[in-house]
Amino acid sequence: MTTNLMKAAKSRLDNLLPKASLPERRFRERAWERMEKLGWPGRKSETWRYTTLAPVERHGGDPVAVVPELPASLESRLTSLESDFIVIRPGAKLSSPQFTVRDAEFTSEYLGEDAVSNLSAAVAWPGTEIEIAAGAEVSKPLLLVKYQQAEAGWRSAFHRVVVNAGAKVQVAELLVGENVPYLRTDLTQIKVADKARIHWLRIQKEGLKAHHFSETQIELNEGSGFHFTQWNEGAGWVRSQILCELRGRGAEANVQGLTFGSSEQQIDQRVVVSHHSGETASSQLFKGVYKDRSRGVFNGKIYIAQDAQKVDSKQLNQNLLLGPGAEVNTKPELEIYADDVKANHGASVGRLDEEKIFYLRSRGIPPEQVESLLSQAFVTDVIMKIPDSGLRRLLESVDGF
Amino acid sequence: MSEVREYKHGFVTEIDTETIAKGLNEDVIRAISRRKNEPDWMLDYRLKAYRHWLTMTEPHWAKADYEPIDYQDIYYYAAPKSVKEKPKSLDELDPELLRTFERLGIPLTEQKRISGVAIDAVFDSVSLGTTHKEILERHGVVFCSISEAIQKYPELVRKYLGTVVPHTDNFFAALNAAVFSDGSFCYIPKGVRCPLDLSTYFRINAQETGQFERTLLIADEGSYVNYLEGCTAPQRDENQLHAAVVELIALENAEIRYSTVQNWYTGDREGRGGIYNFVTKRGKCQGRNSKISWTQVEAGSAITWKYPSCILQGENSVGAFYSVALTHDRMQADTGTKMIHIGKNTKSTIISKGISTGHSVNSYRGLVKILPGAEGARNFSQCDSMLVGNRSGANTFPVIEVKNPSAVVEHEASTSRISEEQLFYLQSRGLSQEECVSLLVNGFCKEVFKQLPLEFSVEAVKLIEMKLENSIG
Amino acid sequence: MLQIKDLHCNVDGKEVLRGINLTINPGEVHAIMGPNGSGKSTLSKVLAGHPAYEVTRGEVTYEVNFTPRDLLTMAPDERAREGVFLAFQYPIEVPGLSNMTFLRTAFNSICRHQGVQEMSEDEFRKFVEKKAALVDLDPRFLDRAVNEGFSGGEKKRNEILQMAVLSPRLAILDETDSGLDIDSLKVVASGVNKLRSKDNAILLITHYQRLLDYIVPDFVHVLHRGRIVQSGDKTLALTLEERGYDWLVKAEA
Repeated sequence: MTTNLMKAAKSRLDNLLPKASLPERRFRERAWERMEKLGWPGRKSETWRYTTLAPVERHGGDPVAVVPELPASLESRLTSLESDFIVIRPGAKLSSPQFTVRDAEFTSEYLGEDAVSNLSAAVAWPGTEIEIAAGAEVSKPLLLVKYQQAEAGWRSAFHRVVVNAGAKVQVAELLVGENVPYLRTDLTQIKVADKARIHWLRIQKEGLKAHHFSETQIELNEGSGFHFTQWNEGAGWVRSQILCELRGRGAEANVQGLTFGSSEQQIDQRVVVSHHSGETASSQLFKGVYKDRSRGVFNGKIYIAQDAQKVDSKQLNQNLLLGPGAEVNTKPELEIYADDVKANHGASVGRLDEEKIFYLRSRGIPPEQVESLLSQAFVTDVIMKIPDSGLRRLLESVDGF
Repeated sequence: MSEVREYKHGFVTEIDTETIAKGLNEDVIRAISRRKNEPDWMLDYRLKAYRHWLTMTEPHWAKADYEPIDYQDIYYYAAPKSVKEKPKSLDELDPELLRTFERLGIPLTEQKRISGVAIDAVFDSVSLGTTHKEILERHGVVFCSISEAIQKYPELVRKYLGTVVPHTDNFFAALNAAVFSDGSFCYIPKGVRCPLDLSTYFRINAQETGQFERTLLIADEGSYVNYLEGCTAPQRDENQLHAAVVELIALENAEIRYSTVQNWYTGDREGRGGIYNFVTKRGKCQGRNSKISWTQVEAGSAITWKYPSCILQGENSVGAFYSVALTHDRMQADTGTKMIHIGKNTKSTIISKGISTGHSVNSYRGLVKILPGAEGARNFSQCDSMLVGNRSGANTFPVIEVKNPSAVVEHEASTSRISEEQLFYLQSRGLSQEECVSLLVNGFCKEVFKQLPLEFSVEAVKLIEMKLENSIG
Repeated sequence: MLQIKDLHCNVDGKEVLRGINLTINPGEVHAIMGPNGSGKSTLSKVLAGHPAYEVTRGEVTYEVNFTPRDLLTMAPDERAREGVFLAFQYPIEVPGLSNMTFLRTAFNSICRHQGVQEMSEDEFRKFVEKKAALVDLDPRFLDRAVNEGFSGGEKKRNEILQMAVLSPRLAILDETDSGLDIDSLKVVASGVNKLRSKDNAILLITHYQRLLDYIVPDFVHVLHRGRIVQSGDKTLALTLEERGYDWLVKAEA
C-alpha cells in the first residue's frame, strides 16, 4: 500500500535510523517489522470494521520537530491552574524527590496492537516520560499538556509513565490543538508496579478538524490500581485504543469513558481488558451521546485467561442517539477461559426517555434545555466515579479549553 | 471402544448404497441433477452456484480450529439402492430403513407413526417419504421433499428458492446450492393454521459423505406452522461435512416457529471424528405483522457454525431466537443469530444460553442491525454462559449497529459457573452431584426449553442431562 | 380560568374521554372522583399536554392575562410557564439529575418568561429549603437525583415541593393521596392548602374521599366511562363514600 502516510513514514524512518542509538534503532525497526507483518487494516479487519482509515492515510509530509508554542489563551488558563496542578508543558523537564519528567527514551520495546500503532511507534518523536519514585505520593495532580500546531501536519509521539512500587499519583492529560486538519498519533505506555496506584483523566479536545489516533497500554502488577477516564469531545476523526493488562494478583482496573459526538464526528473507542492473573478485578463503563450526524463506535473486550480464577469483571456501554442522522455501532465482547469468575456485560442504544422529557417539560423547562439536562444526567455517574475531586473539578470547566 | 461415551444414535445401518463418484466438478452436479430428473432451470441454478463457489475462499473467521476439508474427497450423493424408485407408501420401504428410524424413535409405518406430527424422513441424500400426507392435503398444506416439489410445484420453488439465502451468500451456502440433494419443502396456504406439527428428521449414514440438505418453507398470508427438525449420525472416526441451507418466508400476518434439536455425532473424547455442521438458516418476515421464531438445542457436532437469522422487512414484524448450546470434550460451537431490522416498528428478542464443559469452546456470535428506515425498532438480547470445569472457554461476541435514532436496543450477558451455594443447598437435600448439576443447568436453560413443543422439550431436557452426566461424571 | 368543552381523547386508539365539560374559576377547588379506568388520570395528562394522548374532539381554553387561549395548542413546557402544574400520580425518576438543578432550571425558565428577576444560587437554595421544610422533606433530598430511590411518600412530597416552588395558578393533583400514610397525607394537604388563594385554582383527582377531609373542595364531580355523570358540592363525596359508585352508574345506564 502506497498511501501518503506510508510514504511519509518510510522517508521519516530512513531519516531517523542513521542518527538513532542502538536501542532506538531496535525500537523503530521492530515496530516497522511488526507493522508489515500485521498488515494495514482494511474494512475486513474485525477491529476496524466500522472506521475507515482513509482520512489518516492522506496525511504525509515532513514533521516539524519543534516544541510547539502554546497560544496565549491556553497559557493563561494553565497559569490559573498552577495552584492546583503541577503543569507539564510540552518538552518540560522537572525533577523532584517524588518524580521526574524528561523526554521519553526508546529503551523499552513497544508492542503496538495493530499496524497503525506500530507504524506510529516506528516514526515516533520522543514524548514525555514521567517516573514516580517508589513509595512516593505526589500531592498535586500532574497536568500533562499536549498541544499540536497546524505546521506539525502529522505528528507521532511515544510517551512513557512508570509508577514505581507503592507510589500514588493522579494525572490529568489535556490534548488540544489548532482547529486545522492535523493528525496526531499518540502512544502511551504505563507501567504500574506492585501496590502502586494511578488515576488518570484524559481530556481529548483536539480541534474539530483534526484527526486523532491514540493507543494506551497499561500493565498492572500485584496489588496495583488504575483508574482511567477518557473524555472524547474533540477531533473530527477519533480512534482511541486502551489496552489494559492485569498481570498481578489483587490488581484492579477501572476504565471508563465519555464520548460526545456532534456534527459529522466519527469517534471510535476500543478497550481491551485482559486478566492474565487470578484474583483481579476490572470494570469498564463507557457512555456516548451522539448529536447531529455523528457516528460512534465502541468495541470493548474482557479477556480472562485460563487459570485466572476468581476474577470479577464487568463492562457496560450505553449510548444515547440524539441527532436524526446519528449512528452507533457497539461490540461488547467476552472471551473467558476460566470457570470460577464473574463476567458481565451490557450494552444499550436508545433515545431519551419520553416520560422523563414530559416530566421536565411539565415543569416549564424548554425542550432544548430538557435535552441538555437529561444528557448531562445520563453521563453524571461516569463523572462521579472519578475518585479525585481535583480531576473532577477540571471537567467542570472543560468548556474553557 | 470402551473409551467412547454413550451416543445411542451412533449405530450404522447395513444397507447397499448407491453413490456418485467422490469429488466435485460440473459432471458430478449434472449427475445429481440427472438422477433427480430435474428441469433445466434447476441445473442452471446449481451450475451458477458452483461457478460462484469456485471463486470463493473458505472462511476462517470463527473461533474454530480444524484440519482443512478436502472437497474432492467427499461423496456428494449417497442413497439407499432400494429407494431408487421411490415407494408409493412408507409401508413399502426397505425394512432395514424402517428399523433404523424406529431405533431412532421415529416410527414411519402407518400403524405406529406418531400422531400430531407429520414427518419427512431424510436418509443420506434422499427423502424416504412423508407421513400423514392425507390430512395435510385436505388443508391444502404441501409438505414433501424438495426434489418432489421441484417436479410438482416448480413455480413455487422457482419463485422462492434462493431469495432468502442467495447462492452468493457465503462459501457453504454456495456449495449447498450447487450440490444439495434433498430436504423438505413446505407451503402453508393463505389463512391456514397447519393442523399438524411438521417435522424433518435427518440421518447421515453413509461414510465419507457430505450432507447438503435444503429446506424451503413458505407461510402464506395469515397462516401458521410449527416446524421441528432433528438430526443424528453414526459414530465414525472421520469427520463428515453437513452444510445445509434453510430458508423461511413469512408473508403478511403469517407465523413460523422453527425448532431444532441437533444431535449429530460429536467425535470422541480426543476430538476424533464427528460432524462439521456449517449451516445457513435464515427467515424473512416479508409481510406486515409476520413472525418467525427460531428455537434450537445444539448438543451435537464436532464443530458448529450456525446463525439462524431473521430479516425483518414487513412493518411490525417480529423475530425471535432462543438457543441452548452445550459443548463437551473437544467440541467447538460458534452459534448465534442476526436480526436485521428493515421495517418500521419491528421487534426482536434473543435469548442464548451456552454451557461449556471439558476442553470445549462455546461462542455466541450475534448481530443486531437497525437500518435507517426501521423507525421505532426494538431489540432485547440476553446471552448467558456457564462454564463447567476449568479447561473450557465461553465467548460472547455481540454486534449492535444502529442507524435509526428512534430504535431501542438492549443487550445483556453474563458468564458464571454453577454457584457452589446452590450446589451445596441441593446436595444437602440428598441429591447427587450429577443430579444437582443437571437440575441447575435445566433451570439455566428453562426460558429456551419452554419455547419448544412439549415432546421436543422433554427430549431436549433428557439429551442435555445425558450429555452432562457423561461429561461431568 | 379553565373551560373544558366536549373533550374527547384517545389513548392507543381507544376512546377514554367521551365528552367532558367543566369550568373552573379562580379561587375554586374542584375534585374529580370516579372508579378505576373512568378516565381521571387521562384528563390530567391531557391538560398537562402529554404527547401520547390524542384529543379527537372538543376544546380547552385557559385564561392567560385575562385572554382566553387554546390550551391544547400549547407545548407542555409553555403550559407550565403559564402556571399549569400537574402533580404526577407516578413521579418519574431521573438518575443523574439533582433535584436542586432541576428545580432551579424550572424556576428560572418560569421567571424569565414572566419577566421576574431570577434568584442567585444562594438565594434560591434558601428559598427552596424553606419550602422543603413546609412539606417536611429533609433538605438532603435536594442534592439527590430527582426521585431516585425515594419512597412513595417522599416522591409525593417532592411533587408538592415543586408545586410550592413554582407556585402555579392552576394545580392539578393526580391521585396525590394514593399510597400515603395519614401523616404524609396531612403534610401534602397543608402544602396544597397554602396554595389556595382567590387567584389560584386547584383540581384534585382522587379515588377516595379521605383527602377531601383535609382539602375541602367547592365542587365534586364524578367521572364514569369518560364523562362527568354527576356534579355537586362536597356532600357528594360523602354520599359516594357511603354508597359507592354503583347507584350513579346504574342511574346512568
